[in-house]
Amino acid sequence: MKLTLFFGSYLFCLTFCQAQRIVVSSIESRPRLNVNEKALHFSPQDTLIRLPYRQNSLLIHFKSPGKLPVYAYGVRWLLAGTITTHDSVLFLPNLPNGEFIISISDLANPAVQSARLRVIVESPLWLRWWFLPLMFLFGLLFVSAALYLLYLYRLRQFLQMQRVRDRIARDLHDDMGSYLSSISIMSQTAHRNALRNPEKTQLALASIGQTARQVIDRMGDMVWSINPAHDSINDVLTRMADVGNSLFGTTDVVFNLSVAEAVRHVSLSAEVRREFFLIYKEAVTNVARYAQASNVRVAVEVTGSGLVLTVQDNGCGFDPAQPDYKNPGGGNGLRNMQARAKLIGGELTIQSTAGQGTTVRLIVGQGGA
Amino acid sequence: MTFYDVIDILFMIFFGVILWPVAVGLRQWMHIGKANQLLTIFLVLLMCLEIYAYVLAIFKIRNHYIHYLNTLLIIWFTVFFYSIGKKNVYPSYLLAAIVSICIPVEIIVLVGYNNINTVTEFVARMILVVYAFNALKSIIKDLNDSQIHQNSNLYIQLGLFIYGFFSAITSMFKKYFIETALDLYFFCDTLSFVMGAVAFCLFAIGLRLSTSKKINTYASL
Repeated sequence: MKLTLFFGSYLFCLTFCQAQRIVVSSIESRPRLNVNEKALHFSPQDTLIRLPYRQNSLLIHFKSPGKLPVYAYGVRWLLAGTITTHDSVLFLPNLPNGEFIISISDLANPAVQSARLRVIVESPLWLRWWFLPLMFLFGLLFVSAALYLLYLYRLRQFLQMQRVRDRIARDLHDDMGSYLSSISIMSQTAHRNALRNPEKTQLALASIGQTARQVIDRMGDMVWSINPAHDSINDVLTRMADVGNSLFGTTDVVFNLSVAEAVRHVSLSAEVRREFFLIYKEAVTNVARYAQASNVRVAVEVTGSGLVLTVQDNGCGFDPAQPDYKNPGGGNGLRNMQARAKLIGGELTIQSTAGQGTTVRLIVGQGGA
Repeated sequence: MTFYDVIDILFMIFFGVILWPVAVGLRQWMHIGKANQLLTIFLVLLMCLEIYAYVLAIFKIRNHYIHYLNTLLIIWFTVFFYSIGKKNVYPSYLLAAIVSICIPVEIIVLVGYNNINTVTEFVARMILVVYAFNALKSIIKDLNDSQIHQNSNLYIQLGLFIYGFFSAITSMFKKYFIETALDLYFFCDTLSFVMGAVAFCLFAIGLRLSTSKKINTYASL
């Protein structure tokens, strides 16, 4: 009778309990403070849950159909062994990123199938494979940009050096070369005429002396314009005053150089400085040589148009359209001034009327302000 | 005083460097060019936004919507700043308009109101970086400017490049780090504030130099 009852119970369990299993009824994620979390969607049929990194605290509710269940659960790759409890709730706080398999069985009802659930906690961004390469890429981008700009800067320095060398070579060829050729030719003339025509020889020797002084003068200008010690506008102004004083200091001509305060804050590039100074020098030299003026006024100021140089005299004046070349070998002075002004993007105007003096005005535009 | 309070004070010190270019710009307002006046206005607005965000944070009011204003400020400053003296400005304005329209789209579709607009913020800052880099290239390649170390624009563009680059990178992950890893968030913020301070110093140097008139024209050789 007892044996029949036992087999009867066993068959009952086989038919009813075997088809039943522990059901994970709900899963909640525990919210963190100040974090807007998305709701976790779970249905009892799900066997896989994917969790974002910030939703890694889980509360799992489960239920066994058996009577008086005693649960044993394990979390593979997180817990070393299984935990036995009567509670039908499992709390897993702060799950590390990775994959876990949660298995829950009913020890009191062995016929009830255990529940298995895979939980994947996604890695935070900084632990994903692409994060460090991306950061490296950003670093590389910044360093590459910096190196590229440095390369451009070095190239620029090289090109500027080439430019200065070209300019020096051109000046040496154009100025010094022509002067030295003149000296050579005049010395040959002097040599030929030394015994036959002493007067011509003296003239030739005087010309040689004058040309040599011009060479020294041009050489001085060239060296001065290259020297980085003379980069400031104050050096230009000082040299302008020196030139004016050397030309008019021993004469009765009143020379007046006025410089506006704003000019002291002007920064000139080496090329502009050089051309600006040479235009000024040509202008005051012309006044000293040809104008027969008693008063020379030079003004340097900054206006809306740029840096303005004005050289004004009360001399004899001339017709700028048809200048009367008083130097038989000359005539290049005005053209050179115009060429220099054009070279630096400036504007040179010469206003003159016979008997009413001359005004030379140079405007150099501003850049980079 | 916690560690985070110390970091907060450091932030204030680093961000306080912005006062230097602002002071230089406002003091020399009449003598600096239009572009530099715009830069000064940009810095003043940036400072106001940061102060406003800080006040909100003190009162524990969520202030992430400041990022929308910040993005708008950066993108429109970029196009106005780089359009000065240019003839064809419409492509730039169109770009800024697209980014501006994308801000509400991102808010509505992706992140939700009062959350950081990561994508548009990053894009706006990268646009600034690209413009600044191109401007730097032009400045260095310009052989007519023989005194590049006296060029105010060089320092300003370098500052914009550094500011844009580091703030762009950190803005990419700011939202994520705020919600997940505060230490990383503070690291990012510190990096962007330190580099921001460097950029502000460069702005100040540039604005100071811009007050000295520079005659640099050299038509041809």
